[in-house]
Amino acid sequence: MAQNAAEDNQAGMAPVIGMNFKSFSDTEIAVVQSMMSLSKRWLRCKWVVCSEDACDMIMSHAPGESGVEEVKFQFKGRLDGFRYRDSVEFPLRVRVFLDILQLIEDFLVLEEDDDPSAEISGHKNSKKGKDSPAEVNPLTVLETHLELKHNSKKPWAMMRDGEPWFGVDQGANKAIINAKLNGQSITDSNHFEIKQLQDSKELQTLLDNEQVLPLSEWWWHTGVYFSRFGLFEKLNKKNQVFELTAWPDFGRLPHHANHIRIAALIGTKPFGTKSLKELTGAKPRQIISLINALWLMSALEVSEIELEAEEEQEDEAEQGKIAAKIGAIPSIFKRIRSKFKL
Amino acid sequence: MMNDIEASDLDCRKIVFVGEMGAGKTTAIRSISDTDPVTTEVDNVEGGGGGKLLTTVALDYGKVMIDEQTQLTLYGTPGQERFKFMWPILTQDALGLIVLISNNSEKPLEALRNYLLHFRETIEKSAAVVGISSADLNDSTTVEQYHAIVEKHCLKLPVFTIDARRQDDVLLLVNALLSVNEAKILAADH
Repeated sequence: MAQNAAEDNQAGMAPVIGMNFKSFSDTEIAVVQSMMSLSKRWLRCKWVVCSEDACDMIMSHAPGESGVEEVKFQFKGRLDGFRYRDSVEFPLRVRVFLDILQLIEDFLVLEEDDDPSAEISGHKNSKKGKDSPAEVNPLTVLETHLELKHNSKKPWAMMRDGEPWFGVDQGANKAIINAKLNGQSITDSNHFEIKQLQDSKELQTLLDNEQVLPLSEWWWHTGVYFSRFGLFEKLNKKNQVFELTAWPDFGRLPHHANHIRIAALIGTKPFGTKSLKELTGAKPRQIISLINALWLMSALEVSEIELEAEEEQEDEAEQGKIAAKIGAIPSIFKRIRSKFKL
Repeated sequence: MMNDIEASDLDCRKIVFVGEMGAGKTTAIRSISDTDPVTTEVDNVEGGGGGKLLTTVALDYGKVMIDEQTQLTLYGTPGQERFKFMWPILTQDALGLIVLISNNSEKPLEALRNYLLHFRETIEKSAAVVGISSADLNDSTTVEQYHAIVEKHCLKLPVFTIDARRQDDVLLLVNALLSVNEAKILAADH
């Protein structure tokens, strides 16, 4: 039933998600496809419906334990390292479906690697075009505002072009998100401001009936999303090292397998981004997304070390040391990973 | 099919699952074991375990053939304290410890505290991860509260909400266990 639904897809322009709808009737497939078409403006990536072998994601539905039909997502191919609570209740809610697609899209961005040898750097300029009037990097905007409000006890809301985008209630440990605005590209906006609120009630009124997430989950998604713009400026000095103070709950957060390896490393002792890249082989965006997200979640300790003057001359010896360390990892770990496809 | 004689030539590694009654040890092992795990369950006469009718009195045992030469054995230890004499034997040379805590039990934080004390040596020598099960049935204890207990013991362990029936969730714990082990090697004298 291969049907190309991304008629305007241009190679190299955006990630493409391949999908297969197993056990769906033709009518149900048509409904999902129409939903996808409607959602097109929210998505930056393209999608195609394809045969089971060629797809990244299979959606299927079957009666669950309680007799209620559930839609299940199974990830394949390029999405192997992607992990998400893989079922939602049927009938499929459009919002949930779009959220999942957006998470997948963010994941595909993590897999992109324009230049694997490139150093991890921050504050990439956002591409300007007819769809992106923003002249400043959205990462800078977010960082500047969050610096002021990150630990605020009182609820506050981030306003985007005069409309509430998201609100944070630290006391209640939750974030309320304006789903409509959150679905739009951030580069479509150029005016952000913080609105200080008196109490939770005011926040509830401002963002009535919107999507509610535990605060840690919201910061995680924000950190992963903003990884496309680079590292936060505060985290972008060459001599900085990062240490994990508390593990994120990867049982609840969609993540890449390399996020766990990087977290384990900085959970042991502080490392800089260069070492993390060399020791784990992770792609720059996977490192950036974890560091940004951990900082937003207040689960990161940042310190500065003295850079050795002869750093560059020692590069070769350092590479030898790193190779020796990687070689010292018992092969049993690699074999267990391979067996379980971890 | 591997028989017992051949099995003795295998490179056997092990992962140990510990946890209170009803935390999901048997279920977790079942979800990743190649074969149906050997379990020794009897009627639960002690009560507890969230109304569980059967409970493990000796061991759960499952195995996964990693390749032709290597077997990963999965042991589940009894949740009851009266069996704690077995714990040092089981954890010797283990790749690590998976601590399972039911969020629906009466005193989940106290359970974690006890395991961190009893298994301190294993945790320091190899690795440990904490899986919180049944969070869908009871969310009165938060992941942050578990982290606070871990921190009080001067440890930094992965704490993940899981469903022991789901293979993906159990593999997440295994993956974290391997990653922590690898990290210790990579971080040595770096």
